[in-house]
Amino acid sequence: MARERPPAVVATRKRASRWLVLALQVGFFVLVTGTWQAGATTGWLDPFFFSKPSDIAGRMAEWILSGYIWPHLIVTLTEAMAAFAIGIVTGVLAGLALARVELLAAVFDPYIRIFNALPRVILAPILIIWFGLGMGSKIALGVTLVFFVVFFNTFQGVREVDPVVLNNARMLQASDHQLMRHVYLPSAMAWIFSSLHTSIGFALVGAVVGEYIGASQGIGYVVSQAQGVFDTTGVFAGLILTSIVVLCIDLAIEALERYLLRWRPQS
Amino acid sequence: MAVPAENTPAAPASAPPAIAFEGVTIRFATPSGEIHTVMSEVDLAVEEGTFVALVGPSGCGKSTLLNAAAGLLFPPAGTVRVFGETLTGINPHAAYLFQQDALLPWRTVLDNVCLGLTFRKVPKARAAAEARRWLKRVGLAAFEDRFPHQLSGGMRKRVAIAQAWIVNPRLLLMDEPFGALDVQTRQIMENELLELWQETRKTVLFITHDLEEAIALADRVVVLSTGPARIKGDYAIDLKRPRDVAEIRLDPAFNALYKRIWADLRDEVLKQEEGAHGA
Repeated sequence: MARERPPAVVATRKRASRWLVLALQVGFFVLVTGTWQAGATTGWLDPFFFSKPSDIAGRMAEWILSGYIWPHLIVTLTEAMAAFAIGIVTGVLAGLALARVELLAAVFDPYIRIFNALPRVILAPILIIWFGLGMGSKIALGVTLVFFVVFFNTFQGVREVDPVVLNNARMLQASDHQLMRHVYLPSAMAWIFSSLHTSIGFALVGAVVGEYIGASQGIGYVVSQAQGVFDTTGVFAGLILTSIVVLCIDLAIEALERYLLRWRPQS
Repeated sequence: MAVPAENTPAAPASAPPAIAFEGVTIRFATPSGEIHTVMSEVDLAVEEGTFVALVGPSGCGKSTLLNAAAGLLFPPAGTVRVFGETLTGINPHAAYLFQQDALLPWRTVLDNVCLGLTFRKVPKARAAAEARRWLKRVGLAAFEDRFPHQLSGGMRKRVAIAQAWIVNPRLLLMDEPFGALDVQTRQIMENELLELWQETRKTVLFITHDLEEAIALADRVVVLSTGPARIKGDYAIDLKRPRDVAEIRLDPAFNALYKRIWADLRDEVLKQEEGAHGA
């Protein structure tokens, strides 16, 4: 087979560049934290406002080892994952429906634009009134953020279906339901996945911001408590912990994406 | 099938044609709002069991005619009859071979070949067994787990042929199916198509702008005029079968037919060229 050689060559090249990238990434991290640490130690940066990387790392270790952070982290993650799941399901369903039914799209177009343009954080107070100080209001806030990202991408994905592929399936006697399942949805999948990378961040934003505004648990609550006593170390520790969690989830999504979209040519 | 090897239609004369266009007129509204008539008053009947090639200058509306036969497009005037019945939706008897890649890129070769059976709710195991038989038939048994992008253009065409043939359609619509292939692959594919056709004698409506391909494959060549398209000429191709597309081109009878039909077609191509430059 003529195809078997090129991928091997490509793979070696990719590997070499991956090590280089990793080295540069680590270098960048060392440079930033090193400068920060040095600046804070020498007094060039005021540790009261900027804290110190060593202190932050110490605080994170303390939180993790004492078990203090786990309940908060679990609450935040539960909220984020619930918002993520609800947002994906509703976003995909709405996207499929509006992309397929011209009338629905025409009717809802202005409302979707208005709602999408609205800064969602403004909704937090009303959502807290409706759903209380518990998880419900945080999930609802996350859903309002995730829904639109997933919705727009699904809508676009369905609209971009290759008409030849679609006609071929129709000629093979696919019913409307079968077209949806075998043609529209897989075709939109690439778009939906690209929306997931953005929306997992949004789901966490919804949870943390909601907690920050009013809650008794969660990372947002921890950060807000730390801020209340001008504990910058605590604020940074909360921030960094959240980022690490997002990164892990995003990597998991990427692995799932690689598997589900394995039919795509590698470019 | 008890069909003689010569060039006689399989169906008796009394049977309704496999496909009949009656006064078919097709118009499109251009973006600027003008009405563009692609074809007017086309009458054409294709007898069951014949291989008919439609030739015409590019852009003359050949594909439009095929889409009308497929039921993918409805003419504002005239009717399309399939085995005597007026077409009102997707043509249930037809399979379509497109020029472009039409396989589902997210399905493996095997799943793609199964597709028509899956849509007809054939049990999975039976569909897969049938698909494997077809993959073997088109020489791709070892590739059932591949995705379409991992195959060459010719291999993808073979998968498309298996995908179309597996549902055992009575009518095959082909829109320049080999147009995107290189010359060598194309000739191989043409021969394979003829071989398959020889076995099953399905009715074929084959569109091409390549007159040599049309004569080499078909029982009958219909020449379409440039827009609005009408039937300009209709030629019986009485060359012996089975044929080899490379050898048949050396046959003196082939050349004689080519000269006759080309005289017709050339005028249309020239007209079309002038139109394109004038616009």
